[in-house]
Amino acid sequence: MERESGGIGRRRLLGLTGAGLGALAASGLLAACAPPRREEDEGGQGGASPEKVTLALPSSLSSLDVGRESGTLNYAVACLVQEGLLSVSPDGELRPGLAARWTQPDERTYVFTLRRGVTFSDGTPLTPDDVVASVEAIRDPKNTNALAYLYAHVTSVKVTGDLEVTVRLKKPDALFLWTVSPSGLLVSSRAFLKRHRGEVGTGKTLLLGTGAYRVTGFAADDHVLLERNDAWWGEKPGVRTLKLDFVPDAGTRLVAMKSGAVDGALGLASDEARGWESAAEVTYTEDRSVVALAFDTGKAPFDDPRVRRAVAHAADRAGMAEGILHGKAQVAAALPSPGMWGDLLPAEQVTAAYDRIALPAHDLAAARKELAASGHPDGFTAELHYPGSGPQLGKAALALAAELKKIGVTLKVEEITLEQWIAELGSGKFPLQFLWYFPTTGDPAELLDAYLHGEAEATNIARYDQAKVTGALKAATTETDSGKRGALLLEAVTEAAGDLPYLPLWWASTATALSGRLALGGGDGPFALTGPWAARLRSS
Amino acid sequence: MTRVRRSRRPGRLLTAACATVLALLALAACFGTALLPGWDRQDLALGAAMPDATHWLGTDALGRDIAQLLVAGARSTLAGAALVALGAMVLGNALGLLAGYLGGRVDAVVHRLADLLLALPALLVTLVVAGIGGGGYALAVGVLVVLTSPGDIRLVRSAVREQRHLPYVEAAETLGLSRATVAVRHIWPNVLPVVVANTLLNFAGAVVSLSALSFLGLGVPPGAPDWGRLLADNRTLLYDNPSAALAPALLIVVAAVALNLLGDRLHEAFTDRGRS
Repeated sequence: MERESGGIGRRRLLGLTGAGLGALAASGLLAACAPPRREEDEGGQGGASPEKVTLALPSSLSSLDVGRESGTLNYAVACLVQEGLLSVSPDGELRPGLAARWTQPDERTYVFTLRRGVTFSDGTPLTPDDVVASVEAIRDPKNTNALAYLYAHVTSVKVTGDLEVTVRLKKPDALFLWTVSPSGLLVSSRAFLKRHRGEVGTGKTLLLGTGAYRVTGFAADDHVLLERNDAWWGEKPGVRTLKLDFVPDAGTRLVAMKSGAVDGALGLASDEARGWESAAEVTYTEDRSVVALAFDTGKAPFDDPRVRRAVAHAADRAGMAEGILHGKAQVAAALPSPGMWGDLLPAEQVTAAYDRIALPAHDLAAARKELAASGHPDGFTAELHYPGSGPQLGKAALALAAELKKIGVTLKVEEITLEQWIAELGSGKFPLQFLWYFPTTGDPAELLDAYLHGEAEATNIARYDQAKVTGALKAATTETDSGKRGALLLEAVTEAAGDLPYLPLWWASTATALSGRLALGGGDGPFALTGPWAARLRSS
Repeated sequence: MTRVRRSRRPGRLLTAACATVLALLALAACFGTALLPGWDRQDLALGAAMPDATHWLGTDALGRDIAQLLVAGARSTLAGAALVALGAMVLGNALGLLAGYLGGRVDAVVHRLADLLLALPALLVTLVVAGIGGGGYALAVGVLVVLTSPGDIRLVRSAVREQRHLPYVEAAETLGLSRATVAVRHIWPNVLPVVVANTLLNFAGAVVSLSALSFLGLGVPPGAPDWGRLLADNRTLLYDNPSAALAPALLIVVAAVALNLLGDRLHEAFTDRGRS
């Protein structure tokens, strides 16, 4: 989303918070770059594919390099062109990508064996040295790469065989395999990276990768043009030419669809997608993004737990999900959506634990009571800003303001630009903020480490610091048993819920709209639209 | 005689219709929120709904009644525009009177200033200034007052220059009245009719400009009842409740057209009276 200096961390993560933002709810579009295995590509049974397809994306890109601009749409484009060592299935499972297999000789060492016979779209073969060069480019301080923080604890990345790369870490990291998935590593060639050092992803340099498509044209903030990479190792995509038009305005997008200028759109917000149902086939997919209110627990009036509870009682979360998001969102019980827990814990265990979390229900009488007993019995005035790219957040803020007004709290709602909103996150200026996060992994620790960890000063915008929660999160970082790790993370979630540093509002869905002649095969799930998603486009 | 009567009747009817519409809108602007105190009542569970017996124009995404929002929104839409028109009239008349009556260097400076301001694209400049200033209704109104005034300055200046050499002005000056008295009490009343007509035209322009700013998020804050804001907020509801977006748009058009027609009619009437 934005360029980072130095080691990153805060801005990168804050950027991701809004990342999706780019307006999209296309986080679904993000991460997962799992090439469809031939036997799984059900979409391929649909019939011949159109040669040329034009799709609208709801935000603009100024760079194709996810290291420079890490929004969800940047990933959606880059994942068509480049691949990671691992890929992600539509339901969030890590799978072989450029690495055909991997082993973990000890807690801090990973050995990846590359797939044989893979070539870049310029015809040059993929070598382990290209993988090393791609990691080096991310870690190179001169490149100010937004993903550099992911590799802060990497000791070395070396070629250890004809097709082998070995990575050593300073300490065990349960999330490391996600780091070498497309969300943290998109491989390019050493020669390309050297030739275009610091300039990858512009309209002149474009991108080079091993993916299903190659970029043939890119006009910043206008469109990107892709051609099928016939040398790709996966199943040959049906669509030869793919044009992605950046159309930030919702009305213009719909007009483009109705006029036939585009064949569909990706990453539509739920409240917008309803209008598309008369013009296209709309599919809604849970995107694992979360919208929450973040209370600054170190600043008045929200340092008072009773004030936080009063606000929570005033928030009609079910009404927001039903009325504002047309029922295409789920009332959230915690920051990580149930889909984020993947293989860590059985779904029933997560659901049961979430059911036990008793967040304050919508009850104005209870809100008045909490406020009366707080240190601000006569009410107070607060501001709540939302990014223009998230009108649904604005509606939720207005709904909350109207309810708070009834208990004597004045909430001033203001729309600001996305850039302003990102700059305000964690600045400490505003004790009440929206948290709008699009995870890039299928692991709940991504959210929990960023927002509940007492030592995550840069990202923990609620300034929440509770020893038991932080202890559980620390233990989970080095725990290798997935069940035990999941239990630790779940303990952190349930423990923090009682303190209410964040009020989770909803887990959102993203919508894909395609004209009647197109269908996106390959299964459903939070990651269904990601990876080389366009390779799954078929005639319906 | 008969021919004349036939041609004027439709004009009078139109004028009466415009005056009636504006009177109703003025009533809504003055007493709308008092008459409909529940305009901000929301029903999230209902959300955006089509018109029915309870909600004549349906509801918006927050379940608020569109008809009540439109009535409540008349105040910010029309009051701001009225302020722009009146502010521009005061500023334009003061400077135009000075320039037209005093002449010389004062005239040259004021005239050049008016030329400079007229050369600026008003709405574009307002967008830029409001954008840099972080938006806001007061800022938008202030900028529009300044950028609307050059028209009044030139109009009044020209009218005053026509008047200043007329015998009644020379007579007043011969009597030893001060320049201010001559300008304000003798000349200005004679240019007032054309000023009033022009103010109505400015009013119409300001309704459109302020609505455009609110539409772009640079006017009233989110959630405030304002026709431009309602249009912007509800345009995604075209398939859930079309009237949520169409009704505010229609009201903006109706108000602007009524003000324009009435302004034209007044201008013609004053001109006819002047000739006679």
